[in-house]
Amino acid sequence: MRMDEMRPNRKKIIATVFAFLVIALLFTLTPRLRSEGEAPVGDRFAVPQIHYGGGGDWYEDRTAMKRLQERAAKEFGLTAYPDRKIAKLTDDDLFGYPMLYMTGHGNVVFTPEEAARLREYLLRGGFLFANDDYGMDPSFRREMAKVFPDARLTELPLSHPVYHILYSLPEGVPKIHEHAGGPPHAYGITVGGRLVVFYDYNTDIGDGLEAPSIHNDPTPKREQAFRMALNVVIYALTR
Amino acid sequence: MMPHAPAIHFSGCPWPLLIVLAAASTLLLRHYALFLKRARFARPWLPWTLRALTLALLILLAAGPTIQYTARRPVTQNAAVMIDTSQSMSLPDAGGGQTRLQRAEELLKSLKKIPGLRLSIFEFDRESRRVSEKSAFDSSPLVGDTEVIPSILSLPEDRAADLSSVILFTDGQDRSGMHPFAPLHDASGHAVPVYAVGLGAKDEKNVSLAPLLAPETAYTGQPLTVRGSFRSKGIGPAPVTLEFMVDGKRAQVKRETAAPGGAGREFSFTLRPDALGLKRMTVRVGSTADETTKIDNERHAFVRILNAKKQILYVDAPRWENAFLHRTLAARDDLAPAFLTLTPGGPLPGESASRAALASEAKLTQYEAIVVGAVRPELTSAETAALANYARDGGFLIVLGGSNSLLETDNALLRSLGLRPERAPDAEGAFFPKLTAQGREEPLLRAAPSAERNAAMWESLPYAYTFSPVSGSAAALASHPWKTRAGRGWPLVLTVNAGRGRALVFTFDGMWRWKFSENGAEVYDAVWNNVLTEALRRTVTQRVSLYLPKRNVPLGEMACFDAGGSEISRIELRSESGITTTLTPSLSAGTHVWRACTRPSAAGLYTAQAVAAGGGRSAVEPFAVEVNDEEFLPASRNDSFLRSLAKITGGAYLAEPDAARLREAVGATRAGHEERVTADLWRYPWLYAVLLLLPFAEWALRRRGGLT
Repeated sequence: MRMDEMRPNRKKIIATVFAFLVIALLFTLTPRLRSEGEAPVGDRFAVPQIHYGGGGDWYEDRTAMKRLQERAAKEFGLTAYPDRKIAKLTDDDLFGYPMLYMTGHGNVVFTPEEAARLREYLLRGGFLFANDDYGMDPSFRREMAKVFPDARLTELPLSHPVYHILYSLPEGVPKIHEHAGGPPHAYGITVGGRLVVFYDYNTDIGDGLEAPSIHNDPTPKREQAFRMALNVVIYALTR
Repeated sequence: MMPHAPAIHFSGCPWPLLIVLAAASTLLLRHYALFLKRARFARPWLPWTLRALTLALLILLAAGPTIQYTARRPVTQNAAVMIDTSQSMSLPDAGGGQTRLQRAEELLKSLKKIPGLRLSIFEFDRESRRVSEKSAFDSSPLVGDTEVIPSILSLPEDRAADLSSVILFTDGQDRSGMHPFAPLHDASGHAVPVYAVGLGAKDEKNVSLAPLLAPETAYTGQPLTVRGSFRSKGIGPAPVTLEFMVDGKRAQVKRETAAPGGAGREFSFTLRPDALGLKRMTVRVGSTADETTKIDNERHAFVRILNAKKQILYVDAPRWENAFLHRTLAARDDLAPAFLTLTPGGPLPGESASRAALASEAKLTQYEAIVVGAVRPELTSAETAALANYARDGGFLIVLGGSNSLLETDNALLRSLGLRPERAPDAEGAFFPKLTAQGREEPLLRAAPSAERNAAMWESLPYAYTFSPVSGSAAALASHPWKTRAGRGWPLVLTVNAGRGRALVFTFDGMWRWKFSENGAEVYDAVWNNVLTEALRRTVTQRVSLYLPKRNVPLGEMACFDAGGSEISRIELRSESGITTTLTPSLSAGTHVWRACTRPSAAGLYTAQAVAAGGGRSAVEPFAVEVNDEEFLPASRNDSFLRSLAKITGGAYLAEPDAARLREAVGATRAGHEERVTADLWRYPWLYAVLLLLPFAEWALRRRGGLT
């Protein structure tokens, strides 16, 4: 091949590589740009949703937290952040939000750094509201064992304040969505007498918090989900 | 007096002397007759007769005449009617209707129809008191205990001597213990006959609780035992239910069987109180529906629950500040924090402090410090006033700003502290508090021993986002970087001296961020440690205080109330049924104590409220007025006691169904009795009048006839 014939090809290759680099750079920077473009949260009430690794659909329940923030603001006299806030466990401003939400269908993976950050976050006063959107349970338990090797998720008794603190839920966590049969469960990790992780399983509370048109859950079911979630929120806000 | 078969005897001068006197009188009369004849007196026999009668009378008197006759004594008798006005006479007995006292009134009316019977009315419980008939039956309420024999003995001596009988209206439940009845007899063995009318039914049913025994103070978490005993009469071996309540809420229930023969059965309830303050412990005994009276079925004891730890009240809305400060307070071993979370819909259920405490100055004073968070929209004006007064009375008030708390320009709590909420053009944006010159010296804000290190730590705090602009003369300890029109930074931390107390005001939201961050946790811990240490060394005293020497007042006894701390205009007593009695207290000499006493009119629960002059400030304390359990158990008529009393005194006993025969029993002496009466003639004044009249008439005749 002659040199004059190769130059256009080289140019093409260089252009392709450059374009690839530009696309990669844009792809990398987009979330940061998007985050920086968000309105500041300040003292408005927000429960950020954790963007974790592992491919387990961290982004599900897209309207749940926004709606929960609005309902909590109305019932508790707070000012709500008007959108869903997304956070990574390694974010600098993670400690500006004392409560986090996570959900998913599949695999959850915390890097060692993320696990350590989450542990520090919870020990310092933070709270994690985890919702199994069906399929998250094995990996979530595995990853929480990384965060708290010395503490296990245990089923919360019906006498726990989280079932009575605001709304009385004498039968415990309600069953919201019938992905599978069986009773609903709620587990928790308690540190120093304080519940730091609330994890609902086989019910999908987050599903009931979503906008009515998304899952077509009946109104009573959605109200049950809100009452459970509001109990979790007010527990975190006052204990 | 009707003479019957009279006779006359002489016991004066000896007969010879009388004969000499008669002879001398005869000579004197003969001489007088001659004199009249010589003087040619018109009717000489008239003065002569008068003189002869005079002399005859003198001789008669000299002979010492004594008249004897048989007389029947009149029916007029002095009877003391003693009406029992003890508590048990208020019972209507089975079937309801009239009380025992009302039935006694009916019986007295029939007694008054007996001619010749002079009645003196006495009421009695522990002693006799002379009363009018009207007031005897107006004895409302009935408050005393029955002590029959001491009451008979307490009849006035001057009247007792003239008494022919005592008529007793009583149920005979004597509690004096003065048996046998020896004191009723005088030295000669004589006793005034007692006609006893026994009121009430023979077989009554009653269960009675004795006053409770409980300590005056107890501590949270420590066992507290309330003891008591109950007795029953006439309800057999059936078990009774004992209900134990704290502040009117049922806490425990027991089933117990009564001891036989009316003996006391003891019981106790033990609890571990978890709430502070004065608590009313109540025991209520349940029994059969046809019980004679339930007035003695409930007893109260008042126990002040204390905590060895210092008290602090934290009131806030649900927010992140709440969560972090809640944990900080709960983690301290020297504190017993009480939490109250207020939402727009009301208080969060199950919190350790009640909403009612917020508006009560008396309840607030039990706290060494009060933290008020972002609850401004939920506070009532009464609550705001009570909080402001708390600070003025020496309390330490800590106000935490929030985006929905201090911003309102009508914030009465801030105004009461001399602060004025302002509206800044834009109060939102990241900032961190900067210590002022005074703040750098302020021990409360000191996180490190050295001023330089302390300032550096404050400058490394995480950003805050919301603050509430306020102005006022309070000292700013930390300020916002934004300047006011006066060129100073908006205050973020202020200290206010309010009355005898102090307030610390944080006008920004987000101290929780310090605790949650790596750099700020040390400052957060240090500041709160300083603030709480300062708060706990202060003493809060109520502006108006009220002390009750006795919280369980026996019915019939005086209840006294001592108020202080301010000039007290009145003390109001309010019964459970809402009846209010206003007392005007007087200042005890040489003290600052205002005292008022009264005799409560009925058993039950009361509240006493001391109100300061000018109104506004007051103190409230509860108390109970209780009946004597002995007075109602047994509640039946005491036949055997009354029968013995009547028999030993020579009277008669009539049970209530036979009371119609009272008139006959007392009237049996109406015909009186015959007795031989011996009367010395010298004792009749008319004789002396005749003796003077006769010579005077004679002298007048002689003068008229021209003689001297």
